Amino acid sequence: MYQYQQPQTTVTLADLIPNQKFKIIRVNAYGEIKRRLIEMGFLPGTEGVMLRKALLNDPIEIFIKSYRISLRLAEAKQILVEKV
Amino acid sequence: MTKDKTLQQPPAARQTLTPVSKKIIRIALAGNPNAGKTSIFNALTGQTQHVGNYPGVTVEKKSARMKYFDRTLEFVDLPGTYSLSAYSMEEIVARDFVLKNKPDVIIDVIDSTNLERNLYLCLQFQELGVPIVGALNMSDEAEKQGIHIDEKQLGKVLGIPFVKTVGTKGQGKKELLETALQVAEGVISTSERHLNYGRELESQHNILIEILDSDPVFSAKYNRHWMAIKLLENDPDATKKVKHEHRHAAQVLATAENAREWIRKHFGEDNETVVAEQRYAYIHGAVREAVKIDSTIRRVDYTELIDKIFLHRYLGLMIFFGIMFLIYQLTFTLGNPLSDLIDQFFALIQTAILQHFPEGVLRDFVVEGIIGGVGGVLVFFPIVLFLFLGLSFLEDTGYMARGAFVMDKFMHIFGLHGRSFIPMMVSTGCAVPGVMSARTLVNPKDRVLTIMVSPLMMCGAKVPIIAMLTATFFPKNAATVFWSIWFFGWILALVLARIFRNVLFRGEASPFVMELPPYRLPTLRGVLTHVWEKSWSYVKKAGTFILAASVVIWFLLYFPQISDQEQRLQAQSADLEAKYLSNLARLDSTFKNGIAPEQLIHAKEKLILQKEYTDQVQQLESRLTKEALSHSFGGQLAQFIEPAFKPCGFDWRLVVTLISGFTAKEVIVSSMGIIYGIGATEIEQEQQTVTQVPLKEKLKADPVYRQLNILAFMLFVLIYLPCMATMAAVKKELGKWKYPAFLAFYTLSIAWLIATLVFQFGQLFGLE
Repeated sequence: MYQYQQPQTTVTLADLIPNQKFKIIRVNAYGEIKRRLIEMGFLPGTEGVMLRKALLNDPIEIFIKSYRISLRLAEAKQILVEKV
Repeated sequence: MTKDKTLQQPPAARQTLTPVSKKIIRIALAGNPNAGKTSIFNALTGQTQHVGNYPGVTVEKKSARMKYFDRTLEFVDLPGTYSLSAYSMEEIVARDFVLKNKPDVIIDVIDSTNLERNLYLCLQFQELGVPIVGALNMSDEAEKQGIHIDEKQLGKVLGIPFVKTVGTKGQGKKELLETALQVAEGVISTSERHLNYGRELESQHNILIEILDSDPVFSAKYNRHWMAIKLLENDPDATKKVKHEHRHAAQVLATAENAREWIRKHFGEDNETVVAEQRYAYIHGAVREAVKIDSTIRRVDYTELIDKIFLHRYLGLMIFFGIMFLIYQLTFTLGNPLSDLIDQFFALIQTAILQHFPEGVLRDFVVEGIIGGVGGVLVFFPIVLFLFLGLSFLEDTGYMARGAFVMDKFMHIFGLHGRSFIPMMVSTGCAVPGVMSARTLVNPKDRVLTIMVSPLMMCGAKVPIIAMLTATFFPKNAATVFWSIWFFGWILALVLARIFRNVLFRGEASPFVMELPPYRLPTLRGVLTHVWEKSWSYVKKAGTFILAASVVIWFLLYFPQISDQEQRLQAQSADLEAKYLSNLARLDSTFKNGIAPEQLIHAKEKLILQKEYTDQVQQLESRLTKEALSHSFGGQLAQFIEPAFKPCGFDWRLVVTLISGFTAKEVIVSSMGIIYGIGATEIEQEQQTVTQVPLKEKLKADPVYRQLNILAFMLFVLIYLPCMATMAAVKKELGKWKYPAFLAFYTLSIAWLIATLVFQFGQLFGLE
């Protein structure tokens, strides 16, 4: 029986609109930024919510694990997520 | 007899029996930013300190010593960090302290409402092999949110004892201290590693340990397990340590590279992520075992409610500017009158000394050099005090990070950080507290950059001179010119920040990964002690430099004295007096036996003579002061370097005022007064009312000064050499002399360049 499978939509954190829940797939950064993000818990499988964007959409604020954190768009673009 | 002697123990032997507890027990406090570390520190030591809501508040090392029964405890407050990787200044400080000083126990302060991320740091300390206790802080808040932590169970799983605390209320501090001492004295062992990275990582880890052990000196110095994990993570600091200190460095590094490669292949993920993932996975498992979350509790998320307004796209910006305006008003409307009072108080002492002590170099030195210098330090004190009152409040509530969030995009265009706005805005009032407030910037590059451009703002001390000159030379559009110069300060600062970022800090992207802590009500004690500490450290550290610089400038403008000046003054004033008396006598003789109307004329003539005489005496005195100034080292220097300022259109007299302006920019007005031979009383008036006073008239009458070179001069004053108090603050905040030196060099260069451009192009286009 054919079952329609919704294609998995992989976007970056920067593409989300406020209140969108997400699950991290991968962090594509390098060096210090990557290290920072990993330590703060940006690991594959971690879930979070996009909270809001500042004027001009940069920076953004998200909720991850159990705290709020802000990122610049440049960093958010390096985080691959899937919408939940 | 001999028997008695053996019974009596020699004192030396008895000393060896003293309990171990006599020695000093060193306790280090660590934890994430915003976990309430400082409040635990205060609760434990009884010493009040700032309760930070803001990363970087405790960059400076703070310690306290206290007696606890028969033990001496030494507490050290480590900077707040999220991890122990060696990227930020704070992390390196914390990590190196633990590695080098080997504290007897670490108290890791943990935010109970944010357990997983906080435990990440905790486990890294355990990996370093230091005895550790976890303080589950803000446990009351966690309970309210329905997070029930079984600290005994958590301790059993992780191999670390945990104690629930509420730092702000001092709850659990006794139990925490007792547990810490038990750990420090080996009653409770925390050395056993419970964290398991999984079979694959552990096998690589064991290979690395084996090769690390090939140098016994190295593996004795550093915890080998920790070193192996750090090599798997490709930690730059650990790699450096191996490179420089391990006997078989090349082999170790090659093995580490192989291990990382293997991990990458096996997991299909880079090694850093794999290690962190395993660590978080382990923590997640432990938390699931020891923490019960009551999902029936649905608390109102106040932070989210407040943020909906405060971080609103448009409203947020307006609220930010509103709050900044309030802080600015608070600082300067409350601070300035107090500053004036302090100023007047010192002026009072100065006149008292002038009246009661004989003339001479010593008296002048005390009055102008010492008291002037001390006054120069304390004048800023109220402003610093009020500013930090406002800023500490913002920090402790958690708003500061929001302000940075709102402003970041705009500031980032110029290579600055969202937090750079506050130091720059404060500098439009006074650069001293402005520079001091830059410590809210965590990243050292952002901090240096912000401090380097903040003094370009039009501060309160530059206002009187620029207002006076615009009123004099641009009477028709004084306000336009004044505000144009004011905005020029901002534009120049932002543009230079962009240039410095591209030229000096090239390619160094500092991540903007900033936690937005939950809003919290600050404690009054926390805010007040923070304010006091900052203000007092300004007086202590900046004070010495300001005093020294004030003495040097005084010396430059006072020496060498004209040797015969005193005699000349006396001779000439005696001449004047004799002339006056003889004139008076002649007048009296002509009106010897006058009738009533003649008596009136007599009195009138007498008054005229008297006024003429006092005018002449004043003129004489001011002429001599002017001569003395031009004869002084400062005056000679100004005349010597005058050619360098020809392109800007300045004569040596303007240069002297610029030299004196290093003590404080407002001094430029009074030294102009001296040069134009205006008595001290008239200068006082000058500062109070900018309209219709002699200095203005004299400047206007002087053919040397035109609109063009005065405009160049005003721009020069805006940009050039920050005052000595600012320089002292820069040295204090950045630690090295190279920063104030660079600041002096570049501001002078840019000031000269812009003044020259304005003057030369102005002349070219015939603007006069």
